[in-house]
Amino acid sequence: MILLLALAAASQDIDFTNDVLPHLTRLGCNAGTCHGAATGQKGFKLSLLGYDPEWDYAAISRELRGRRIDRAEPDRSLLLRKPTRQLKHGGGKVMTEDSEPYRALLAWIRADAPFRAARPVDLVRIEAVPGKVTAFYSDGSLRDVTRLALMTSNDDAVADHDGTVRAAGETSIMVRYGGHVAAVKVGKAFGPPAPPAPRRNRIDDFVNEKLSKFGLEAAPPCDDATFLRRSMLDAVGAIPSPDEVLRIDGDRDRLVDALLARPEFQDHWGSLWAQALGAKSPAFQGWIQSRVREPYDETVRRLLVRETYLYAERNDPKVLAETVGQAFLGSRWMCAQCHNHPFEKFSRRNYYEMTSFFARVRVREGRVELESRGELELDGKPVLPPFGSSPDRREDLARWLTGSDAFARAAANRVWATLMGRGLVEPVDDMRASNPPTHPELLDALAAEFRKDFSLPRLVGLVMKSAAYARKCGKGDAFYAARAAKPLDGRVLAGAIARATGGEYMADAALVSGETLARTLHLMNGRDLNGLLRADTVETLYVRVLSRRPTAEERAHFSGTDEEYLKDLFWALLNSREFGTNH
Amino acid sequence: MINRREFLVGSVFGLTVSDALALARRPNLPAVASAKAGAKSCILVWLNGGPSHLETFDLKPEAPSEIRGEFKPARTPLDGVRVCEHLPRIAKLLDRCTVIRSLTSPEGNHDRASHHLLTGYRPTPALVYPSMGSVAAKEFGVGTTLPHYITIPTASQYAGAGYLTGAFEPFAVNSDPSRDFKVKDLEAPVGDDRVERRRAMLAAVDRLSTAVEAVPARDSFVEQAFGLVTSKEARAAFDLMREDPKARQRYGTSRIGQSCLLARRLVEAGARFVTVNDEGWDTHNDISKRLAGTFHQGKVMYRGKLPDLDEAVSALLEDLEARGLLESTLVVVMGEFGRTPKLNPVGGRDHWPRANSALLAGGGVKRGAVVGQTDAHGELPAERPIAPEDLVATIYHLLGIDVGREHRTESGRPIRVLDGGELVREALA
Repeated sequence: MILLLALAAASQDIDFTNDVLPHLTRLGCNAGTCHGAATGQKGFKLSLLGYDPEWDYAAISRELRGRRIDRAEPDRSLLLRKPTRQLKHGGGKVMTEDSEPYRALLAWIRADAPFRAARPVDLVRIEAVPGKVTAFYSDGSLRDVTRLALMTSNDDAVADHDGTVRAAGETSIMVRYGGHVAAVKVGKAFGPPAPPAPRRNRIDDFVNEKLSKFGLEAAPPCDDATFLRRSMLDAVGAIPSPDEVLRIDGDRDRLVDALLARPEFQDHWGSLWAQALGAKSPAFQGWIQSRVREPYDETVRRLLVRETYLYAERNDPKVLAETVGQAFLGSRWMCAQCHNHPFEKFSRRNYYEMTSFFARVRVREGRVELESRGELELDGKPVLPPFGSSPDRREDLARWLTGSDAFARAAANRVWATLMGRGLVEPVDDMRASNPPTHPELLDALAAEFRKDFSLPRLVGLVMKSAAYARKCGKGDAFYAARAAKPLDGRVLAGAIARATGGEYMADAALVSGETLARTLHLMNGRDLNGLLRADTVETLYVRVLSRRPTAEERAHFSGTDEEYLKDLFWALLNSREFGTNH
Repeated sequence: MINRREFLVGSVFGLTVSDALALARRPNLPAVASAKAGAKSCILVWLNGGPSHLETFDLKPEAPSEIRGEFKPARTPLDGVRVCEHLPRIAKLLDRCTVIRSLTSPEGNHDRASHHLLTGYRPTPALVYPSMGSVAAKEFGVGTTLPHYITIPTASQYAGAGYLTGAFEPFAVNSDPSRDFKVKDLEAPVGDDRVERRRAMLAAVDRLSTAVEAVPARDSFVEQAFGLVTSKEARAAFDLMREDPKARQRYGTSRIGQSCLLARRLVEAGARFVTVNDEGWDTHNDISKRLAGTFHQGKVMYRGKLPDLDEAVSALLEDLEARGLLESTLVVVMGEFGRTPKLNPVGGRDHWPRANSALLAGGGVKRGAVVGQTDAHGELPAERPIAPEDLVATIYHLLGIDVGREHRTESGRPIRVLDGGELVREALA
């Protein structure tokens, strides 16, 4: 790099974007907390992390009557004297006069501070491998930019920001340079290659390969009663009835198919989906539930183009565009309203282009109307949709959206996260090049499978019929080596209490609050739950509450027979760890 | 010394290189906090939304009108120290307090700033750090009868347990102490002997089950809940009706007033960290009315924030002192950031993290001190800049919490209670 800069200086062919800006970014000058802030700092504003080189060039070379650079006496430039603290600088001393960035800035000013080089080249892409970042330019040249790139570890317990692995596991390092983003995966095994885990369908090929590579042994399969309870909680959001517990036949695939065919599957997945969409009105929620079995792409198309629900709750093009990004593409676009997304190649222009699809939508008296004119503006200029020419722009958006890879991947990732306890990409609505999936090929395969017919029940069934889904619960659940137990969600918990007690039980605020002391107190002392306790045999109580028969040990331990004793046992089962989790 | 890793964290997550250099110049904190800690408990009065430093503890009467605003300074027992005219009772007690006027942070967003000031760590996307209250609960135990970390009425964003996980989440009373206050589900619906039997049965059900291994948060909640249910004294602490009506009056009938009263009762009964979460300080418009006049929101009329704050905090300090609890109770009054020195066109002030004030009193805090000052317009600290981690380090020090202790995240990563942060020695008695 130093050599390249020296050569560049010698040939007087220095380029602001390629040779100057990276130093400012690396020094943090254009970070959000310094001159990259939306309002700049002390009258000097740069674009966030250098996403807008033209703006930055103008700010440096023209503003303040050009005093920031002094072409006559380059080393008198404010751009050099402030950060070296020869003059007062709120940001303190960020470089010394014998440093590489200082020399680069000085060389540029000496060369008359050009914006572009005489023979300008553009950065086309970057490539990152552990320990090295390479920039590729439009003339075919490349540079080692390792020292100028910004690097962040997604999990610094596993690896440092520079990619040095610290512990067993895997994570990715996000690399940013010149507005481009790349990710490098780094990690190491937990132990020597493990014996192969069982396989039930294609999903297991991907999961098992990773387990074996990372030296993780899979937990054994869970028993039938556990599988029944787990699959019912996941598919229909309810615990089994005593009858269902007593009729277990061990045919798990048939059980899954039967669950997916139940009407409660629609209710449960519909409300999960409504939650993800933030649907407020019961009518909207009901509509979503009615669409759970219909092809997902068609549902989203209708939601965007034909139905009013979404527009009745979000009457703002920006919010609508953000919803499309977050709910259907698993992307967070909000940041880009004000500045280019710092972790992603999604610019302000992209953001406004997405909003333009909704620019002419108006909701009047509960009906959607399209106006014939009207655009959103960015920097005073109207922004038009990036593609399409339909009179109703939303048609173009829906076609593009539902045909995109990201659409199917985002849905597949959400389904996987719901069933397996965490997404292949986490958080599920933060899918981006710099946050790669733990199992990229698996996510691709699930998405490809989903795209065949966009059937939600079929995708859910595929995951539930894998060996990975059916493992015993336990510690060491990295890469799905074991089932991760999750606390029951408040709504499901209330339903489970109602079923176990056979009474009316409403979800209370304390129950919905998540796993808190308030919830525990309510489960213990709430008059509602205590009023539903009825004495029954130990055997029946176990079946009703824990969806399994008691073991011999449990039967022997709970030997009391009087009514109060059995009611207290009922209470204890309802407050138990086993009842409160999906395991 | 700063290592390369911290340096990179900083440069990527927005810490400027200069910040990093500033950190690098700092000496390391002593690994073990002083053994003789000043305070047993802490009451944090959290002014959620960001109170204006220029309208509370850092007035600029000499500045142009668009900066100084409408409020006049009022005398305090300290020579040359003035605070807002709408805080007359607090002003009189300033000889018991330390006012910090040079708190400064780079975070101007409510959530990020709250994370920084409540945890002592800049926010990062990878991890949520535990708030001071949760760290205290981890340090002192979650409480065997009374929960050790309680929020009134609810917890603000980032006042939770972060990576310490659910067990150290605060117990939120979830009810407004100023109206029909009642904490739900504190009493068992069965007699003491049956509570004991239920407790034994539940332990047996959990022990005999092989379905799930320990669920740390839930297991701890069960223990705490039994402790609370079986202790009459602990339950009585939540009962404001036991308080003398005159004392209730003295704190004011406002939410913050009755919350401060409840906080005192809880601390008296043994709680270690109680946060009064007072909303409504995000004054983007009509700041004078919102702070000291009356204003309407919908059909409801509200009284300005300052008279209520004045009544509540002065009563709290006097009451603690009268009961001999002030020496063992640290009181901290602050919000996530200050507000823009220049009034905006709608008569409000926007977020301004570079200058902020905090009021400290009680357990181990110096009496009658002012630490730091801002420049003529209240824009930046003019001397003794104090970062959120410095203040958090000081609070931990006063509570006797060793900031060098490491806690583990769920993935097993060890993290210090605080990384960086220098004691504000001028605030120590």
